[in-house]
Amino acid sequence: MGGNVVHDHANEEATAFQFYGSWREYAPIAFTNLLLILVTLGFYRFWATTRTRKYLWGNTRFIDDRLEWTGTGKELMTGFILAILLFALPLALLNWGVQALMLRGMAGPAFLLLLLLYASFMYVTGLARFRALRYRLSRTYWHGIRGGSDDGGWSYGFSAIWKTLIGFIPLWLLVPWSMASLWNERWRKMSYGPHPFRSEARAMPIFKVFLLFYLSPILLVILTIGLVGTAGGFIGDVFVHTNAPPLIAILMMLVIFAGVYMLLGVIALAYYAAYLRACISKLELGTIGFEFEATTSDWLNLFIVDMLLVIGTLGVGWIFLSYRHWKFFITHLEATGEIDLGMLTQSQTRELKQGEGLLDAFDVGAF
Amino acid sequence: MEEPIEGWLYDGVTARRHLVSVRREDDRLLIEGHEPVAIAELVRRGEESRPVFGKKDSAGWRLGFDQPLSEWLDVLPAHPRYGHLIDRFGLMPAVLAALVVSAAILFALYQLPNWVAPLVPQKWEQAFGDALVGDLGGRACHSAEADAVLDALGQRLSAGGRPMRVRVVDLPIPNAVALPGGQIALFNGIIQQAKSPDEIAGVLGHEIGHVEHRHVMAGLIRQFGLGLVLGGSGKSVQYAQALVDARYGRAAESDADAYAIAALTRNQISTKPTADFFQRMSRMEKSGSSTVDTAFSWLSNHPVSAARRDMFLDADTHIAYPRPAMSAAQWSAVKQMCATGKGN
Repeated sequence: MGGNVVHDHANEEATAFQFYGSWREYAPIAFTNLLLILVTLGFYRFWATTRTRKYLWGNTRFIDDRLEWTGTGKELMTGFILAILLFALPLALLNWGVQALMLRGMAGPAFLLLLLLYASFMYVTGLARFRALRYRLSRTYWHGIRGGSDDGGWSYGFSAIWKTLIGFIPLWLLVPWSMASLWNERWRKMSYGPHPFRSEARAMPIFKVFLLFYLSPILLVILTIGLVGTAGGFIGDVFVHTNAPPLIAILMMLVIFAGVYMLLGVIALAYYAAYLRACISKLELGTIGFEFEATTSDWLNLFIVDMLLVIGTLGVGWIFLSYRHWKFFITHLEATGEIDLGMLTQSQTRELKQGEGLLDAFDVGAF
Repeated sequence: MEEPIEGWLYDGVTARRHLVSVRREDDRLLIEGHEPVAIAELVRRGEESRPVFGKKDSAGWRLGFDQPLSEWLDVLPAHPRYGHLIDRFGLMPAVLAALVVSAAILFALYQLPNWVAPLVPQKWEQAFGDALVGDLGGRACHSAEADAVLDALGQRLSAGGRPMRVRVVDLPIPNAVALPGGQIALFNGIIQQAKSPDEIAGVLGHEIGHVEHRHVMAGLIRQFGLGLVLGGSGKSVQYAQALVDARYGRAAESDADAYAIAALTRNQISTKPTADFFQRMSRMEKSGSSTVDTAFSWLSNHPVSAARRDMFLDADTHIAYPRPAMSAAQWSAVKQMCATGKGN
C-alpha cells in the first residue's frame, strides 16, 4: 500500500479483477429500483441504472482498489432526451416520408429516402456505441483517475456505415473483419488517465468460428428432411410420407425444430465468445494487457440460467440480469502487467455532460 | 478538537495513494501534508459501508477511511440512497407522491384529446376528413332533390345553423357515422328501415352533436396518440376503421343525445319516433334477426338504455305542435336516392 508500482501479483489474490458483490446485498437495490420505476411510469429508470452501477463498480476490485461509478441519473436522462430529439424523431419523420412517397406511387424517391434512412440508422447506432463507451470510461474512476476520449465519435459513425456494408457484401464473409476493425477504431480513440488504449484485434482468429454460420443452410436442409420424414410433405414434385404414428411424428418434429434453432443460437454464442476473447486479448493500456476467458459454454451457462431465472420468477428475475452480466464480465476479465501509479495522471479529456442515450437500452457488453 | 483518524487520499492528479491522518477543526478537516477541506465541500461517495468522500469541483479527489467513523458521521454528508429528491422525503412518501403524479399524468393523457380537439381549426379538420374519406369510396348515392333536403335538414339541426354535409352511403347497414370535417354518413339501411323522417332527424341530430362537440376530432387524436404509443404505422385505413368503430364514451353519447333533443325541439320535430327507433332496434338485436345487421347497426356503437329512450319520450311532451322533418315528397326522394342515383 502506498507504493508507486502495483501489479496484479502484488496482492495475495491471483486475479487482477475481482467481484465482491452478493445478490443478497444487491436485492434491496434491485427491488426498490423496480418499485420506483413502476410508480414513476419508467422515469426512475435512469436513477435506477445509476444506483445499480454504483453498487457493481463499487464492489469490483482492480489490483488493489475498487472501481467507482460517478455517473448520475440526470446525465442519463439528458442523454436519453437528446437522443430522442436529435435522432429518434427525425428518423421517425423520415420513415413517414418514405411511407407517404410510396403511397403516392413515387417508388424512386421512396427507395432513395429508404437508403438514406438505413444509412442514418447505421450511423446513429455506431455513434451511440462509441459515445456509450466514452461515457462509461469517463465515469469510471480508479485511484481517483478516470478515462475518456476527446473524440466525439462523429467520424466513427461513418466508419460504422461503410465497414458494416463492406462486411455484408461478399456473402457476409467480411463480417468478422468489419467487427474487429470497428472494435479497434473505437478503442484506439479511448484513453484512461494519460494513456491511450492500444487495440490490435484481427479477424483471422474468429474467422473459423464465423464459418460455422455457413452451416445454417445445411441445418435448414436437415430440418426440411426431418419435417418431411416425420410429417410427410413434398420434396420437389415427390410426396413423401411417413409410417410413424402421429404423436411420435409431432414430437420428432418439435425436437428437430428446437434442435436446429438451438444450434443456431449456440453458433452465434460461440462466435460472440470468440470475438470478445480475440478482441480483449489484443487490448492494451500503458503497460497493462487484458484477457477475457469466457468460453462458449460459460456464455451458454449464463444465458440458460438467465432464462430460467426470468421464467421461474415470472419475469421479476429480470431485475438481477445486469448484476449477473457484470459479475460474469468481471469474473472472466484478467489483466497482466504493472502500473506506475505516479505516471497514471488525471485524464485531460473533456467531460461529457450527458449519458449514453440510445444505447442504454442495450445494456449487455459494456466494454 | 478530536483525535486524528488515519485515512487515505487520492489527490485526483496522480493515482498515487497517500496515507494521511485527518483531524476535524470546526467546519473543516485538516489533512496532514495536504490542503485542508471545508466539510461543506465534501460529497459522500462510494459504498455506504465504506466512507469515502469526494470534493465538489475537484474530480478524482477522494478521502477515505478504512475504519468506522461513528463519531464523525453526524457532521459529514450522509450517503445518498435513491436520489436526492427521494432521500429528502423518504421512500414511502416518494412512492405515494409518484403514484399520485403518475395517475394524474395518465388521466391527463386520456383527457388530452378532448382538450385539444376544440383547438383544431374546422378548416384543418375538413381538409383532413376529405383526404381520409373523400367521396366515401364512390358508394355515395346522389340525387339533386334528396341531397338538398338532407343538407337543409342538417343545417337546421346544427345549433349554429352551420352547413353540414350529409351523405347517404349505399350499404344495407342500419347505421350512421360522423366523419371529420362535419361530414355525416347515413347508411342506406337506416333510411330504408325508418318508419318516419323524424327518426332520421333524430339520428342526424345525434351525429351532428358529435361533430359540434368535436368528438370526432378527439377520437382521431386519441387514435393517433395510441398509434404513437403502441407503435402503429398510422395508415389512413386504420383511421377510417377507427371512425366506424368509434365509441366516444358514455359522456359523449349523452352530450350528443342532449344535442339531438335540443335540435329537434328547436325545430318542433317530434322526438317520439326516435324513441320508437331505439325500441325497434333493441328488439331486433334481442331477437338476433340478422347477425350481420346487428354487428354493424347503430346499436353496436350506440348502446340503447331505457333511460335514453325515456329521455326522448319525455322531451316529446314539450313539443306542442310537431311538424314532420320532411314533407312526404321529400321523404320519398330520400328513400329513393340509392335506387335511382347510385354512384353518380
